[in-house]
Amino acid sequence: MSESVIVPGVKVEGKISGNADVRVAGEVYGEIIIGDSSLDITTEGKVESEIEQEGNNESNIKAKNINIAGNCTGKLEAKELVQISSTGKTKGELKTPCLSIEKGAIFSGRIEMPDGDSPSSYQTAELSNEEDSSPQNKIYEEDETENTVIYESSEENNEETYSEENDIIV
Amino acid sequence: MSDQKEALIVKGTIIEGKISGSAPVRVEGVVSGNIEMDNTLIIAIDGRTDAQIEADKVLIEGSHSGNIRAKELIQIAPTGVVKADIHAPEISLEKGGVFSGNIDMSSIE
Repeated sequence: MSESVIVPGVKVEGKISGNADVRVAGEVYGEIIIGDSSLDITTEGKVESEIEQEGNNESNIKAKNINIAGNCTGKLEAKELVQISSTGKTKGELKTPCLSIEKGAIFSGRIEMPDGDSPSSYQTAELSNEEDSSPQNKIYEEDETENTVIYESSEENNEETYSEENDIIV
Repeated sequence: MSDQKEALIVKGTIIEGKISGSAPVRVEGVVSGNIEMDNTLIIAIDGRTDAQIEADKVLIEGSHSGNIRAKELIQIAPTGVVKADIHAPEISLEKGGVFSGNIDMSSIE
């Protein structure tokens, strides 16, 4: 698998783009626009992008999947999935059809999950939470203050976290 | 020991801006801007760089334009194509390599 790696000790200031996966274990200040590829921010990795920008709503960290185990600040947009693991710290905006925040993660900012035309995993999550019939957004608004989403079953972080065997406790 | 691990820009990745640091870097993709590092830089055969470079050692197997200052060595491989002014105490241009520009071999403090 072709993956670019910014190792610890290396800093990139500017824009990373293209069609290869990118793993950040060092530092990136600027934009990462890799629409159809995966972005992996390791526990030592740091990605910092603008979050305060008057009149500019463009996402500056865009990928197919974004996995955050380190530090990430910016306006994130994923085509499929954003995963923030227990060591992850994220600040800014998230736009994604599917999201997972592990217990212990730190998040501050806004989350936008579009409805309609969602992948099936998104719809299953809505059904499995019988107490709360309101849109997915509400669950995460409450979770912002608690900073956790608790999953009954596996600690493994994969797309199946939205399958039927998981209860999302709000 | 993490500095020993090589940063890798694979073919398909484009970096515009500045790359800096103390780890070795290997470029198989495209870099435009500046590269300032305290280690070895390798521009591999698929690498395309248009950048001002400062490094300890620079090995070019791909295509590069932009001035290079190396503390130790600049080596242009048989597949290398370089259009630049280069400055290093030791320079190697292997048969097959293409170079155009100035060469300065005075020592670098």
